[in-house]
Amino acid sequence: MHFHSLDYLTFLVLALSLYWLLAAHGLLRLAFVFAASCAFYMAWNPTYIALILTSTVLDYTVGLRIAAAAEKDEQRAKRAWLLLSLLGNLGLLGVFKYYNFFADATAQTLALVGIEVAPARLDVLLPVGISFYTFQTLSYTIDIYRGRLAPTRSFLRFACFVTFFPQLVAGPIVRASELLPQLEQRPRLQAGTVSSALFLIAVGMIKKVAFADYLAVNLNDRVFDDPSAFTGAEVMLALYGYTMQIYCDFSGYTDVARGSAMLFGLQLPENFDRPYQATSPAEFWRRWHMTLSTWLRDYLYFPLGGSRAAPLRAYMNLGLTMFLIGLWHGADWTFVIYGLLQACAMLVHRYAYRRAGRSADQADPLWLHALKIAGTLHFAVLSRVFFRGSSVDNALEVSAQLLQGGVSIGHVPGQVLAVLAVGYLAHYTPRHWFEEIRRRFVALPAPAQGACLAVVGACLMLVVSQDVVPYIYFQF
Amino acid sequence: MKSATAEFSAQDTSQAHAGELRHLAWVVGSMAAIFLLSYALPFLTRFRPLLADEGLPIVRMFKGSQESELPGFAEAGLITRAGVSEQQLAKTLGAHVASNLGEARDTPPQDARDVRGAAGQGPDATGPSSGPALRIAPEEYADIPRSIEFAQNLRPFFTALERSAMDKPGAITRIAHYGDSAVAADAIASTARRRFQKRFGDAGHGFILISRGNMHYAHKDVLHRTSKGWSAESAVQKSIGEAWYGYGGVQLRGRAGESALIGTVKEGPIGTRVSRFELFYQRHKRGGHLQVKIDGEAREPIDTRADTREDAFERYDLPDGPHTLSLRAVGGGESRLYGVVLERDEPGVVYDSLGLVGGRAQRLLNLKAAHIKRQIAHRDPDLLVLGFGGNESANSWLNMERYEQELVQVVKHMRAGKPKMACLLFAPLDQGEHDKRGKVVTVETLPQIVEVQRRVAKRLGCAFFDTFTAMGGEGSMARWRKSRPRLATSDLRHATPEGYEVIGNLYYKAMLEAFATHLKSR
Repeated sequence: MHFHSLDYLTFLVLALSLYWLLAAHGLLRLAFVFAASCAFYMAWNPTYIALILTSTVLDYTVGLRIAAAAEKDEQRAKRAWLLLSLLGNLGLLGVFKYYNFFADATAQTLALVGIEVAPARLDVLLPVGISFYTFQTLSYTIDIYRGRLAPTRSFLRFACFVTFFPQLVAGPIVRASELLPQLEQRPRLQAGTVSSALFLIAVGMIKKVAFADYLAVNLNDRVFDDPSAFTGAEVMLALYGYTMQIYCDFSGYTDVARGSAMLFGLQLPENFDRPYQATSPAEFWRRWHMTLSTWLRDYLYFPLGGSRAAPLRAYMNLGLTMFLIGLWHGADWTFVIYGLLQACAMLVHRYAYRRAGRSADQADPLWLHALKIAGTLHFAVLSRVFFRGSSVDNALEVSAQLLQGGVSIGHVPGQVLAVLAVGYLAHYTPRHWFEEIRRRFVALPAPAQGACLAVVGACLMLVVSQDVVPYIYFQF
Repeated sequence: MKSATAEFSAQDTSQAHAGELRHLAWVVGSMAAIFLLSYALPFLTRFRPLLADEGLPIVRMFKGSQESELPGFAEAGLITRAGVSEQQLAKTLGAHVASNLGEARDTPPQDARDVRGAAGQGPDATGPSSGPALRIAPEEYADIPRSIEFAQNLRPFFTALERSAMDKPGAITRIAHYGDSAVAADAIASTARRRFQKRFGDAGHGFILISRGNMHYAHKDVLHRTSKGWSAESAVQKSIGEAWYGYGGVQLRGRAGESALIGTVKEGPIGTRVSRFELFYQRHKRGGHLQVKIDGEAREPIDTRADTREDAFERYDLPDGPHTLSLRAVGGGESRLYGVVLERDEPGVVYDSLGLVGGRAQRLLNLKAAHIKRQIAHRDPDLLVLGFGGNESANSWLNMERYEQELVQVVKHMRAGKPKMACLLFAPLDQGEHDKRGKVVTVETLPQIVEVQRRVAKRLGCAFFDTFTAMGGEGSMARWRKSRPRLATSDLRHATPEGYEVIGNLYYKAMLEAFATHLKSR
C-alpha cells in the first residue's frame, strides 16, 4: 500500500476516524493502532508479519529481562539477554537480507583458489522494512542495557512502537525514547497541527510523483537500462536525475510519514535537511537519512571509541561506520563499493581538515563555500552510479559511457530538463521561502485548504507516471 | 488561582484539539466533494479517483489479483539484488519467462557432435538421410508458450541445418535476421546466435557493419572498434538517392583517416575463431583508397574507384583461429563500405544480425531492388527473418490493409535474391502506452499488426513466430517492466538485455521444437 495511492488515503482516513473515536480508551486505542499497522503491512505480504511479531516479542521480553537483571545487578545475565536480542534481530536480518550475497561471495572467493562450491541459496523475498524495524527494536534493548531507558510493561505499547504504520516500512528510524512516551499519553492535537500535517503530506506527494517518479520513468531508468544508447552528457544528466530522484523519493516518503503521524498526534523525527547543500561528506551524512546516521553514530561509532580513540583507530572507526552505512542499503557488491567510496571520502575529508588544522565548521568565503557545495554534490552524484546500478557491470557500463563523452542531449526531452532544473532550484532556495508557503497554507480556512489539496491531487493525477512506482527505500 | 489557570489551560487545549479534528473533517470533506464533481461532470472524467472496475480501495490490496496487478513493488520489486526469486517471477510473468531468463537457467545446450555420435550410422555424405539422424531431446525446448507457426515452410532451412549439424564439409547454415532496434542492438539475435552455434556449430559471427555511425548499434561476441567519423546512410532515412545501402541496409561513408578494426574476441562462448573475412563495399567514380591489414600485416590496398557504380567483395581466407581485419580510408576519395562478414570453414550456423534503428518493414523497400537482390544472392542465406512491427504500431492511424500490402511487397523484395530461401516473420514485442488513467496498456494497433503478419506469413509460405503472445500477450510490457529483474525499459517499447534474452531463448527453443518435429516427420 503506497502512500501515493487512493488505498493509502482511504486507509489513513478510516484509521484516523477510528483512532480519534477510541482516543479516550488507552488500551483500545493502542490495540487499534497495532491492528491497523499489521493490516497495513500484510497488504504487502501477510506471511512476513510473523517476522515483525517475532522481533517484537523477542525485544519486549528481552527489555524486561535486562531491566530485571539490572535491578539484581546481574551483569552476565544482562549481557546474555542483550546478546540474545542482537543475535535474534541481526540473525533475521542476516538470513533474509544478506545470506545469499555472502554465500555467493564466499563461493566466488573459493573459486578463485580453485575450490568449486555450489552454495545453497534461499529463494526468499526481502521482507519489507526489515532493516528499519530491526534497527528500531535494537535501539530499545541497547538503551535499556545502557540504563538510558526504562522498559515498557505494556506489550501493546511496545508493539505499536515497532509497527506504527506510517514509519514501519521506510523509517524514519525512531528511538523508543522518542515514541514510547508519546504513546503513553492520551493524544491531543495542538492548534495548527492538522494544517501543517496536511501541508507536509502534500509536499511529500509532490516530491514523489512529480519529481522522483517522473525523473525515474522519463530519464534515469532509461539510461541505466541501456547506457550505450546515450551520450556522456545524457548519462551525466541521468546521474543528476537519479540524485534528485532518490532525495525526492525518500524525503517525500518521510514527509508523508511525518505528516500522517502528526494527524495521530505523534511526532516523528526529521530525516533530511537539504542534504545537497552540504559542504563536505561529513555534513552530507548529517543531513541525509539523519536517523540512520545518528543510529550508527550512537550504537556503533561511539562504542568503538569514535574520534576520541587513537588516530589510526579513529580513522578505522569512521571507515567501518561509513562502510556499514553503505552495506545497510543492500546486499550486493554495488553497495559494498558505495560504502567503501563513502568511507574513503570521509577519511580523506577528515585527514585533510586535521592536516590543515581547521574545523569543518569554520566559515569560508562565499566562493569557497559554493565550491565545496558543488564538490560534495558531485561526489554524491557520481557515487550514486553504484547505488543505482543493477550490478557492478551495469555501474561500470554507465561509468564508461559517461567517460566516452558526447555532448548531445537530444534524447532528454525539454520537460524532463525542466523538472530536473526546478528540483535543484527548489533545493537551493532560501529555507524561509518554503516556510512562507507553509505559513500561508496554514492560514487558509479548511475548505480552501481542501480545494488546494484537491488541485494538487488533480495535477499529480495528470503527471503520474504509471500505476505505482515503488519507493526506493522500501527495498532496504 | 493556580488550579483555575490549569483548568482554563486544559479547556483551551481541549477546544484546540476539537477544533483541529473539525478542521480535518472539513478539509477531507471539501476534498471529497471536489473529487465527487468528477463523477458529475463528464469533462472531469480524467480526475475520477476510482472507477467501477478498479475494486474497492484497501480491500483490493488483499485480493490475490494484486500480485498480477502490482508485482513491481510488493514482492518482485523487493527481491534482493543478489538473487531472483524464480518462484515469484513465475507467478507474475509465467513459468516460461522465469525459466528462460538467462543462460544459466537453460537446459545445458548439447554439443551437436555428441548428438551426432548417438546417431552413429547417420545419413550418407550426399545429403540428409531419410532416417532421424539427429535427436532433439524434448527438454531442450521445454517451457515455451508459443511454437513456430507454419513451420513446414522452414523445410529448406532445416535441411541446411541438418547438414551443418551432421558435420558435412562446407555445410554452413546462414540466417539473415532483419529487424528494428531490438536487432540493431544485437539483443535477440545474439542470444539466438549463441544458442544455435553451441548446438549446431560455430561457423563465424556473420555480417557486421563497418561502424555504428551515430546509431545505437552493437554486436556481441566480436571485436569491433571504429573511428567516429564514419557517416551512416541508412535505408530507414532514405538518405541517399542511389539507394545502394548494402546487405545490412546501412552504407558507411568515410574519408581519409577513418578506420575500423574487426575481429575475433579473446574469450567467450563463441566468436573466438575465424577463417574468412569478406568485405562488402561499393566501387564508384569518386571512390578512395582503402588500406587493409590482417593481424597487423598489410595486404594489397583496395581501390574503390570505378567508372560506374558497382557492388564489390573482397575475400581473405586464413587459417582458422583468432584474427583481426583492419581497414583505413587513406584518401583519394570517399570509401563506401557495407560491412564485413566473419566466417569459418567449420560446419555450423552463422547468424547475421541486421538491425535498422527506427526501422519499419516498409523501409526495406528503400533498398534498390536489383542491388539488394545481388547482395542477398551473394550472401546466400538459408533463412530470412523479418522482425518489424514495433515502430509501425506507434501509428494509431496505421491503415492495416495498406500495411498488409506493403509487407507482402517487402517479403517478395527481400526474397528476390534467393526465392527458395525459407522465411520467417518475427512478430513485434508488446508495445505499451499509458491510457487516460495512467495505466500501462498494449497499444491498440499491435494485436492487429500481429494478425496481419500471421496472414502474410501464411499467404507467402513463410513461418511465423508470435513474440507478442510468447511474452504474455496484452499488457505484458507493463508486467515485464515491473518485474525484477526489470525485463522491459521505461519507454515501454523495448526490452532490457535480460528481457531480450528471454525472447531470444523462447525463439530459439521454438525453432528447435520445429526442427525436432521436422526430423520426426521425415
